[in-house]
This record gives sequence, structure tokens and C-alpha cells, in this order.
Amino acid sequence: MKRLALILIIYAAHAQAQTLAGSGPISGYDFMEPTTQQLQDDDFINPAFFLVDRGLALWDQPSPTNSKSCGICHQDIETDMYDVSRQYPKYDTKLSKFINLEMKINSEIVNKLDASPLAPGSEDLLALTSLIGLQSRGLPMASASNAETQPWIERGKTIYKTKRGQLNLSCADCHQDHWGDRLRGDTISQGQINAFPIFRLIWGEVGSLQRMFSWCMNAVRSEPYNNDADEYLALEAFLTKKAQGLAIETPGVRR
Amino acid sequence: MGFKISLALGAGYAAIWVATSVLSDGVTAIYALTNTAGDPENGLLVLRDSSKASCLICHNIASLPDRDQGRIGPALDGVATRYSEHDLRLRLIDARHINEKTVMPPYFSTENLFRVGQKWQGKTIYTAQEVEDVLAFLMGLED
Repeated sequence: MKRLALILIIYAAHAQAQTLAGSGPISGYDFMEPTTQQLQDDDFINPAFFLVDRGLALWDQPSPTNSKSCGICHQDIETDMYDVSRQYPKYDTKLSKFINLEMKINSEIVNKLDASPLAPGSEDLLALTSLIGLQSRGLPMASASNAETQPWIERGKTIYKTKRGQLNLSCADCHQDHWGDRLRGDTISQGQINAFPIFRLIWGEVGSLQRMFSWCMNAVRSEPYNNDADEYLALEAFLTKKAQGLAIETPGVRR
Repeated sequence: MGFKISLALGAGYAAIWVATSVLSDGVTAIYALTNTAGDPENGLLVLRDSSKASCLICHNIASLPDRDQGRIGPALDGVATRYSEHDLRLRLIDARHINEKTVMPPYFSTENLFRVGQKWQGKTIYTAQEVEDVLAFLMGLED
């Protein structure tokens, strides 16, 4: 109940600030057809929840090497993982590295469970990311404004604004300068990242933020980066900043 | 950004010479890319074909019955009244000659592009004939 109250207070304050400013980030949800929105609205029909269930199973699965599991240390997911995904990407002082949630999950798997890291984009990594992300649902996206994060945000901004590919388009050309405009039958969204991982109807499955980046780059006929590339981590840092204040919807459903 | 005589490679076609010259006011003149006159009927097919990253994705032509036309660039109705054939060809080939920051893709250029995907490297969006065909259709759009 305390938690719900906190969400409501943060959200009401934020909604009011948005109204006053007359603008603010708009979720991709608002650009979806009502039928797609309904898929996300109901956890029982949201197809991404199959992956959340898988995440729950993985949570308690003992490591083959030391028999430990995530659940041994973090018994109550709802409490222990509350507000965790919202902290990422961030500078991890123990690892002395700027990392996202996927990298944090893998470092835990390697260091605590003595197991092999999960491949970027793999279903198991998506499942754990979705499960942990769900525990921040409803909270506003937040971006740290410290010295370690700032260079990543700046780098991401440059990548966001760089025209690329045979079609010579930048992320900003569409999602900053032309959101709300019609691209054939679709309305261009702001490209906000507050619902990842998402079940995407045209993929017919859940995909990561990095998969979406690569999909967009292919769409402008540009060479994508690898899932674990610094360029994608920088984009994630910039887009987290851009989405600041927007309610987290993980796991979302998109067209 | 004046380009003189440059070698351009039409996708899947032989290399052809794009004859251009820079006029006194700095505007580049570009002549027809092929010896075959543009075919407006094929131009319409190309212009509708989303797989060719084509016009209707971003532009609207009210006289066409097509649903779901784009609204990013200006409507193309009456475009032949507003622009000369030469200026329209220049915009199709590479609209960066008019506005360096344009969101319009360069349909017949392989220059000054960043991280073009392997599949598309060294290829133009349209072939030379497709540029001429689309142009022939657009030149029929008078007010």
C-alpha cells in the first residue's frame, strides 16, 4: 500500500509538471491501436508474460556448479527487485564499469552463481530482464546525472543525431523532428524506451531494446551494431534521459 | 557541394556517367540519367512500392486512390507547376544539394553516407531509369 501511494504521488506530481510545461515524453503506448493497447493492459493476455513466467522459473533454478540461485539471496522478488531496473544503465562501482541491467544480470550469474553468462538477446536473458523490469512498472523512468553517466549520455546523443545508412536518416530525423506524423499507415512515435523488453506483434515474440535498435538501423539500411556494443549502451543512456519521468510499462506490447 | 562529372552505379545496372555541371549561381545542373525517356506508368509503380523506400511513405498525392499515404514531406500535388524538371531531378538524385540536413533520402547517390548496411553498399536506392520514370510521373502532376 505504501508502495502504491508512492507511485501515485510521484505520478501525480509528474503529470502536473507535464501539464504545466505543456509537453513531455509520450509513451509509444499512446501511438498504438486500441487493440494493441488492450494486449498490454491485461497481464493475463499480454503475451510477454510467458517470458516473465520463464524468468520466475530461472530465478529459482540452482546453478550447476554451486547450486546457488537468484532466489536464495533475493527471496522476495517483488520487494528485493523493486525499483532495481530503474537504476540502469549506471556506473557500477564494484565493476568499475558503466553497465545496463542485462550486464548486471550476467555479472551476477558469473560472480555469484559461478555459471556462464547468458548470450545477449537470448530468451533466458530476456526472461530475467522482463521479470526484474516488471518490478519497476509504474515508476517513472530516471536518469542519473553524475560524472560517470554524462559522457555516455553525450555519446548516445551524438549517435542519435547521426544520419546513417543508404536512406541517410538519423534516429532524431524521425523520432524527434517528425513524431506524430504519418509514415504510410503508421504514426511515428517518439521512440521512447519505457516498455522494454517488448512483445512486438511484427516479431511475434519478445525482443530486447538492442534488437529494436538493430531493427531501426536495418530499416534505414544501415549496418547495425552488436547487441553488446558500446554504441547501444550509449544510446540506452541517452534515451533513458530522454524518457525521464515516463512511467515504466515493462513488459510492453508494441506493433 | 558542387559535384562535377561523377561515376554513379545504378543498383544492378552497369555504371553510367552522370553528366553535371555547376552553373554560375552554384546550382548544379543535371541532365537526364538515361537515353530512354522516363515511363510515367512505371514511375507510378515505383512511387507506390514501399520496398523501394518510395515517395508515398512520406508524401501525399491526393489524386491517387492509395490509402495510408505519408504526411512527412510536402504533398506532391501540383509539384510539376512548382518545380522545373531539372530541379525535381536534382531533388530525386540527392536533395542534400538543396538542403544539407534534408530528411529526404538520396535516391541516386552513394556519396557521403555513414555505415551503409552491407547489403546496400555501393548501391543506389533507385536505378537511373527508376529516377527518370518517377520523374516522368511527377512531371504530370500539374495544378
